Amino acid sequence: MTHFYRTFLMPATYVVLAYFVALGLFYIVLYVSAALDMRQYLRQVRAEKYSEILSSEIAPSISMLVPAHNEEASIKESVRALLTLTYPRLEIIVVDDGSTDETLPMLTSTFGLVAIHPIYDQRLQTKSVRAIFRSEQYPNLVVVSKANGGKADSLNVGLNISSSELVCAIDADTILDPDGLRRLVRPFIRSQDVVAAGATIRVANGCTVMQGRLASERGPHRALAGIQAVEYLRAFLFGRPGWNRLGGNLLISGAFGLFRRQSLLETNGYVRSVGEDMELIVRLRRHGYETGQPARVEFVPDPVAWTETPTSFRGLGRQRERWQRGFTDVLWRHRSLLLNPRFGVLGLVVFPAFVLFEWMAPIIEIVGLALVAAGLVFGQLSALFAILFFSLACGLGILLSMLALMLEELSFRRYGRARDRALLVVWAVLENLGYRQLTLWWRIRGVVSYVRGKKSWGKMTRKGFNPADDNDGSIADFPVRSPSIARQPVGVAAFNTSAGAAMMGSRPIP
Amino acid sequence: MSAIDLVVIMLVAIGSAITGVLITVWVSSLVQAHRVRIEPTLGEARQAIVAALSGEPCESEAALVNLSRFSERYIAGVMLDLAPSVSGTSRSVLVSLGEQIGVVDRARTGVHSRRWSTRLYSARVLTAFGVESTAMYDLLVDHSPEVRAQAAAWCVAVPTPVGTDHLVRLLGDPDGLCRFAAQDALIRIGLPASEALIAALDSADDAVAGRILEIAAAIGDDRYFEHAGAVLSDPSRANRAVAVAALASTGNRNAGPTLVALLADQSDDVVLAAITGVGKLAYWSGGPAIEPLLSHSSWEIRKAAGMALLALGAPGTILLRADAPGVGPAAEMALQALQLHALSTPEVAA
Repeated sequence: MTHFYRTFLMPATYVVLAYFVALGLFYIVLYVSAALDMRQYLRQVRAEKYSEILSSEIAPSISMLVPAHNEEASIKESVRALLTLTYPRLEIIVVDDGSTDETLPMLTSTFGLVAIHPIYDQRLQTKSVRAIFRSEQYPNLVVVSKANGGKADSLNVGLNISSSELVCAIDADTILDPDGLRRLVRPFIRSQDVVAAGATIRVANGCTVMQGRLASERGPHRALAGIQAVEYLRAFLFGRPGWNRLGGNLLISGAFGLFRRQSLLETNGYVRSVGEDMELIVRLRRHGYETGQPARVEFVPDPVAWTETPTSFRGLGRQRERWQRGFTDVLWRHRSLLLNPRFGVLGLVVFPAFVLFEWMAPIIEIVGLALVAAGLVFGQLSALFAILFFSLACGLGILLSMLALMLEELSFRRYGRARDRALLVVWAVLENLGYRQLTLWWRIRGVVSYVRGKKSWGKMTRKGFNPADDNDGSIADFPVRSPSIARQPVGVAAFNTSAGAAMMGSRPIP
Repeated sequence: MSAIDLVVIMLVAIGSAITGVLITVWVSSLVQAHRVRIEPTLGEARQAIVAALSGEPCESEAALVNLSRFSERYIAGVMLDLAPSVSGTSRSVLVSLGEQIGVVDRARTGVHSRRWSTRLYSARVLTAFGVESTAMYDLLVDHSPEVRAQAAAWCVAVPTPVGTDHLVRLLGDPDGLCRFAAQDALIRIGLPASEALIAALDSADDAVAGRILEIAAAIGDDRYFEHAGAVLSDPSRANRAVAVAALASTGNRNAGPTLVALLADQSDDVVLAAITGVGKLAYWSGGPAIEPLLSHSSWEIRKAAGMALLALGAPGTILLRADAPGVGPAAEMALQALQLHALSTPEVAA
């Protein structure tokens, strides 16, 4: 048996260790890139008031696309919040996706909707549109009633009806910074090559929400939400800005992303899939290479969308499993990009990095875990070494999270209270002791369920932003309201994927 | 060195790094705590400045005393917050306060800095206060696009013929942000910029000419009529289309017939712009020329024709009603336009 270990398992252990070193180096490069990008961005926006854009006649027009299905609990507040956004040429298109509750009547009575008959070109095939309304009180608010067809179908209806240059896709329960759009539009002004721009998503659990606006920005006080807040910070302050300089991002959060409408129409809009947000970005970038028109995807760290996260392990598990399933689906659909020189940096750097360091991480981590166990069983690995290596991997995980917290502290510092920031440090440590092992399990389950052919979204029940509420993220079959895959903190998710690190489990990837 | 030693060394290194990060976070938290502590006092200083903006000298003295307790960074922050909201005498008082405290002088020096971020920040301060400085013209050709764009915004605050000339040159800038800032600034400057723009139009390349015409369309100055007309023979379809838009916005008495003649242009973009222009001018005698376009092969042109006929009022509506009972794309679009008209006119709907 010892011979078996030395012949087969030992070389495998070295492979896993090499992967661990490569992953570490990759994250060092990503962090340096993110820090440089953030430094430059902060200098650019110092004392910037964005008032020129606010009152400019030539600012690009934006349509906010808000798919909603059975949202009677929160739709009023969500729309009110959107109406307070400060942007000069803004249209809000709420697409009621065949709600069976009071969503549409509530919108009609609250905003004084009257039927209109816009003449629009049905460029994208969608389920039938029943009626279109415009608010008498707020002329820039349009509500579309359509047959149920899912989130992608609702967004495509919005794309058909919109006549703006840019469209912003958000989830109905997302809370945006009032000046978020003005900040997010900059990449589009700067270059015609930009087809999409994404913003930061933060965890709203713990924040106080009043009339659809954040009354106070507080960090979560419960462990599960707190750990997710750290994950989001790591992904959005560290991972995404890092990719800005390393070949561009491969995903933008569906909770808050801005797109060039024409580019979306040229690529046939949204496709119904579990990972539709990421799929769209990959398709846009791919289309750019195929047609010879540059298609850049930028990340802007400053504008923030706040969203609630699951507060039960059951809900979180289902969310992470779904993310991994969607992630796998996107990578499989676009597998021809892998190491394909025709797609330049996308095919040779970005896509392979996502496959190697994001998708493969939990799998290699599991293998590593098994190898460590085998090493201990065969007496080839001392217990002391295993413990030390566990501590090392754990320490690296904590260091990464701490670096993200440092970036937050030195940049935006949105969680204003010292107590909240101190708690984030605690969550960053706790994350490595049990939580990551769980996410490893969920992600493996996601891959397995994809292989088995499960393609449905699952249902997520939300209870609103009231801090007293406890969102359990419960799931059943339901096409629209599920959180988008791209909201996931992909980017700096998988680390410590080595034989030693495997003992701790993995970080949640998609 | 054994493997265990190596791991221990790495553990120590990681531990040290975590400690360093925690110390940085802690120090930063202390700075933040200081900011939170001084916020009420800063609020008082802000109130004092607002009172000083009323123009009373004693209030200005009080504001100065209040402000002197803070570092320049905080003072500049407070004043920059207020600057965009004030104009006229209040602006003068604010600038005077800024000069007495040294914020303005520091910004004047800062525009010469070797660091682009300092030049940018200083330019923003001078823009917010609307302070003249000849050094700002140098920033219009700065190597940093951010700085150039900010200098363009300053030209609106301090409009001069020299600045306008620079802005026209910035329309050909390789950076999109600079082009946007220059276009936006020229639109804000408005009629005084027309002369420089018209002069530049003759020698401009296609891209710049297009941007000038976009500005012309936004300004709506009759002086552009002749020059926009000259661009109508331009080989670039995009430029011809934007020239048509500029032509329509001049409101010139000859604009209507010219636009009607352009309805037969080879380019769909130009036809689209011409239809929109006829509708915008409500040039009702162009209705019969637009009506056949309801059956055009391009959906956008059909829609624009329907909308333009609606915009012409009764003469256009009669033409739409004539088409509506038929079959085919013209009837379909006419019907949709009439339905839109019915929904937007309650008495018709009733």
